[in-house]
Amino acid sequence: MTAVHMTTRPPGAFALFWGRARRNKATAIGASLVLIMVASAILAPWIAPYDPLEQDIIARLEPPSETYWLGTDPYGRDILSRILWGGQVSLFVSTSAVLMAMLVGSTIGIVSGYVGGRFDRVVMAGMDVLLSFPSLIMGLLVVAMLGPSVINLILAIGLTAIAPFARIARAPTLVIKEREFVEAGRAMGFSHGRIMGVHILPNVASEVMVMGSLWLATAIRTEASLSFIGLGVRPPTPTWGSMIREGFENILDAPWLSVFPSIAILVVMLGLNLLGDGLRDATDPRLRHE
Amino acid sequence: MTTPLLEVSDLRKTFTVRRGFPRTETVHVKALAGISFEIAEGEAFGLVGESGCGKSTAGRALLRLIEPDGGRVAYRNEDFLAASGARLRQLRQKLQIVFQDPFASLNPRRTVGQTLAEPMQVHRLGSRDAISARIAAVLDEVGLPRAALEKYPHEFSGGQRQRIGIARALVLEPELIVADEPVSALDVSIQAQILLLLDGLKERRGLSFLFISHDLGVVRHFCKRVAVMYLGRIVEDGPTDRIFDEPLHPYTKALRDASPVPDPRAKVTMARLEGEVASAINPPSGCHFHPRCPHAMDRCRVEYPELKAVAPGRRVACHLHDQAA
Repeated sequence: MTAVHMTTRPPGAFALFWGRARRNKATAIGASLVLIMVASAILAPWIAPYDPLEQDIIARLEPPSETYWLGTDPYGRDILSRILWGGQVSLFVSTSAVLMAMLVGSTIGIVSGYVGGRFDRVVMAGMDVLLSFPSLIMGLLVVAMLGPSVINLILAIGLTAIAPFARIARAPTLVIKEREFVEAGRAMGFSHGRIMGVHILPNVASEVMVMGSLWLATAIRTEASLSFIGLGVRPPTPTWGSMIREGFENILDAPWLSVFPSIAILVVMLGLNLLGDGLRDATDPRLRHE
Repeated sequence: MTTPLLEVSDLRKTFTVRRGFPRTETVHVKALAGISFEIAEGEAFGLVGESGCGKSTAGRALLRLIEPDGGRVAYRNEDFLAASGARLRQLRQKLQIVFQDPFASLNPRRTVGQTLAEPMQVHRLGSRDAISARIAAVLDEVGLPRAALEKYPHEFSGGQRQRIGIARALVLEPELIVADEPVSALDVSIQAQILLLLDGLKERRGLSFLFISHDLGVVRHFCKRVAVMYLGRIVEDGPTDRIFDEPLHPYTKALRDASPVPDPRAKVTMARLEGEVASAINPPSGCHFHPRCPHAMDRCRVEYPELKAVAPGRRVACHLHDQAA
């Protein structure tokens, strides 16, 4: 035996990421931005100064002031409170959609890559067809068919992200299934399900997670776009996208209506992209041994 | 005559590869062109040959890690290739494999304890306590400390990982282990340790081995009988000592002469083979070895020699010995 040393897990994406994040400012900033936005959305019921739905006919279209930090909309509703509450819906919809896509997509990718052959070619051709739709068009189609609701919105956005997750999970599966520990599993009589779930999945998880953080940003944008064209959650429930749209009618005399929710989206997307880039660098084997 | 533990007859495997664009051409690689051998209980049987001769394919095909195209594999007279479902899983317990690359053969995200417990859990071999007891016993047997259980493969050296790989094969109490180049990836000093370990297992457990290697020295040490493969076929088999002392097939002879003898006084005859190993995609007509054979005759170019018994327990596929007989 070699000298006594601490038992360590193999450095996974996460451990590597934290080690790197401390050195990489951009990643740390990204993580903080995401954290702040998520926390403020979750804490909305406690930190929002007003009820996001309460109308006040006297305080219509107030510009930002001490009473209304970010101003009010044509119904006298407080913009700051609506952004905080709207963040809940926007983040919930996009996170659920990405989780769904991760689950379904990586299952398809792993099974397809593991089974291989003609099955793999057919499944991946199907994924390519899905991939060829821009996510907004796809979301439009699904919501237009099923009608706008939170669940349908999640389905629509999730569906557009399945194909990229299937691709990202399949590629490492093709490599790992040829590794000898998979063969050893078969020699020991493990079922295919066990080999895929216990031996392949944990080895592709880091790639999938990185993809997840990058797609979360896209999902937030898609949700906002769908809300903007009126296919999002029904009013009066605030979401960032629908707030931008409502503000659009008064864009010249009350620009704060659209500008502030846009900034909220901008901040989250920026944070997620910085975070995703950092995660991707952390899992890139070419950068590992620097 | 007693029935052998494992009986392989006429095992065949052809790989089909499509290549080229835009006009694809289909290429058939005969990795196994019908090989037959038997392994008795407690016997170590060697399979030697150059890279690409099909010896690893043979090991994998008989375990059905690659489905063979044809032939028969009988384990204690039961047809292993026909088994399916629960019976196949039961039989798999008895036939295990140890791989060459100790870095690729262990899942990097599972601790040694998890890796060793998993096969027993899958086959429902006893309670949690019984499983840990057996794991502890196997760890002792392969010479790993108990502390290894909580560790991950990347924390071990190549030799230790190979011990883990051997332990994993042992937990299911197999009767035969296919050892596919089990020491080729290791340092020479470590090779000796692992070989000693395998020797011990052979003695104590009465394990049978199919020992696949290109290293004649190692095979000579470990195996009682050996088969020499060339381009998917067995060209000669028999007792190890006699094969290497007095090889009958010109290829075996060349192979022996090419491997170093650990004796400084031994006279060195650098008899080397001319030419490259022929392609398995388009093997030469007749005897596949004839383009490189110093004794090639006209007959060798047209007719593949059958593998025939020339002495008790010895077979060779060569026209030279056909004539002599």
